[in-house]
Amino acid sequence: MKKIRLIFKLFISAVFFTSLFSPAVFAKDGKIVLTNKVFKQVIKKDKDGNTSYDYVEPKTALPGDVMLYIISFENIGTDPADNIVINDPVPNNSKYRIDSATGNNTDITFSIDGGKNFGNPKDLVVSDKNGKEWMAKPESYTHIRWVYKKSLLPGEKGEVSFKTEIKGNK
Amino acid sequence: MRMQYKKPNLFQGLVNNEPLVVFGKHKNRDAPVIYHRRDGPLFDTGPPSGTGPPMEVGLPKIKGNWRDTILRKNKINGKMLVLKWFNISEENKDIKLNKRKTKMKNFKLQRLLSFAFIGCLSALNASTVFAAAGDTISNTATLNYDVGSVAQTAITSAAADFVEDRKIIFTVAESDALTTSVSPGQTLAVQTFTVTNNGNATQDFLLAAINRTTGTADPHGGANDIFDATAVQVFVETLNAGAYVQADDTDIFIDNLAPLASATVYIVSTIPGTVTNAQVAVMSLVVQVAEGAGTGLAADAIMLDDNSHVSPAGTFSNGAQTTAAVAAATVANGVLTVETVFADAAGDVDSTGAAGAASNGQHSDSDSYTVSSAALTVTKTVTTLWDPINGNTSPKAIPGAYMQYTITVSNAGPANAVLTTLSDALQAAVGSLDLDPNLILATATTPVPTANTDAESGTDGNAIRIDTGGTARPLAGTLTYCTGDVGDADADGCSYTGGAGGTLSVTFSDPIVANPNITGMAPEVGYLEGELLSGESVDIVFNAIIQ
Repeated sequence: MKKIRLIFKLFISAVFFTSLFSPAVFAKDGKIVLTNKVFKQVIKKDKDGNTSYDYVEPKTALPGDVMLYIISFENIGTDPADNIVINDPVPNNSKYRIDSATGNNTDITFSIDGGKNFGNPKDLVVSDKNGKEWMAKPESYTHIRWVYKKSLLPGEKGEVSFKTEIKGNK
Repeated sequence: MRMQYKKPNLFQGLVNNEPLVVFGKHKNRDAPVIYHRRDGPLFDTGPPSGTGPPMEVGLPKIKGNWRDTILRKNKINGKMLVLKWFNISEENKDIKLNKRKTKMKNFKLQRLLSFAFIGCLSALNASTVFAAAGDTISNTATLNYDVGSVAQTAITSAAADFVEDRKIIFTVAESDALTTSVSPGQTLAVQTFTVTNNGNATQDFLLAAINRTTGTADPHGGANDIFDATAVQVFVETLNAGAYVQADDTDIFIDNLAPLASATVYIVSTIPGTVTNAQVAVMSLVVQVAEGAGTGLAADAIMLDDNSHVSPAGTFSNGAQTTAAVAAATVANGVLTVETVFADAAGDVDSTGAAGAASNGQHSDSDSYTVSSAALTVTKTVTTLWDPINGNTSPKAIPGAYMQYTITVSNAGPANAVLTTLSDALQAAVGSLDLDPNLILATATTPVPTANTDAESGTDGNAIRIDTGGTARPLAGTLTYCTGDVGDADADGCSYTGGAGGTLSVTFSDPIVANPNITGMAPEVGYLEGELLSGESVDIVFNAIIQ
């Protein structure tokens, strides 16, 4: 329930910012429109001292800042789209934030080898010099992949997102 | 081995995503468990000893026993911090936490732990590929899909770009957390500071040393500030010599300090001759950020950021550069432009002498000079050794009598003193005194020894005894004799000039030799030439003959 609310909130923010600031650039060479927007996460405090997150245009982006990427896709064609797979590299100067990738009706996997292989976090292992295996740290992820589990019918929209942190001293 | 633990309450309240370190004991090994994030699953990142894969674990290498190392590094004011120790008895089990207690200690523990690893984390950061101000951070998503089982052309999103802005954050830290001990009248009294650029751009830094006002508390717990140092200057270490060298360290601003790099800065001053023991002068090094391409001029100082934070006016570069106050300006901010943001913490003091503020482009730290002078006293006593009538039995001070003089030089401290020369003019008037050239024994039966029988040293010609028995020197029991020759021709440090009523002098550097590295003794027990440590004394003994 909580998660759904969050997604909804993100969606609202995305719509808000899209209309307000960002010159939305659409890929037009297909029947699906794909957009990618970046926001900066800021901490908001209400009068009772409770904190919540707000997502704003990244006018000021400093090391340690957390960024939210929202990737939206919409079928503007007349036929259902199947086997939708979205690939996104973790941006330069940035570290993937653990457990931040979301997407309804998607299987989310990660790559630690530049996008050659993808797997669940628990299957991404690195070996030390003694051959012992350890779970890869999220900040070593290089790519994120969302596999949409349904068909996207004409007029339907979907949305996935993830967060990063800008490398460097906070 | 792959493990995942459920999230304990410990993470409640963490706002930033700094790694949180929880010490756990695993059944198979003795190692900490590190949890990276405030949310999501927690990862066992393995042993820190270097056997684990350092690029994939969150803990830096610690030599030896990591737990002792961590604890040892975290003494504050002599108090040992007790870090929470959790038992993790089995894989895939929750960390056994007392939830009620955890909630209360949560915040405290988190702070302790983040403190514990400040040093280690910076080591980690140092190896991170560093993002720089002005870099465009770009991201493009790609979507593949099929329509009617036919693969379609992949779709690429427009790039979601933004430009990383310039974060100005740096620290000034006094080097040793100890006061700088000085003597009255000392020149080149040096205090050492380290300036570290924690921002994401190369910057210059202007420097100012501030004599704090009377009454300022000593950061090292001594008396309050009562005097000002004079001829105060600031210099940057240029050759990594590890200490201030007047001839080499002449830079008066820090040029081009890269992100994560540090520079050593010295405050160099003169201590007034009028100060007395235990008096304190508190000094602060105030550092102002400047453009990295600059040349240390006041015009290069970054006095305003894009959040309308302004730097205080100030005087830098040993008085050569004066920055004027500026007004806050309206900021034109953009996603693809580089903004400058002051993120520095509040220092002790700013360049105007007011209390330091956060995000003002300045940071500072303080050290103190504490006067430590030596209190030297000289006493002289005399006994009658021998007279021509009574010999050594109840001798009287009559003409021809041998009088033994003992001059004692004592250092009541607290500072050590290097003795240079001592001179003593023997009486020249009626009943004048002349030096006994052989320093006869108190039991001498004959005042003019033959065959060295009565000479205290066993050798004729040794007129003066230097006795370091009042010192902690390893050879303190060995007496040093020297000759009262004219002009110290034999260079033993002692001379006597002028026959009856002449002047005896001792140059201490010869009889009190340097002793820098005595086997089995701590180095600080070593001596410079002629040095008398606090609490020690040295005796100079000679005989004079009443004419």
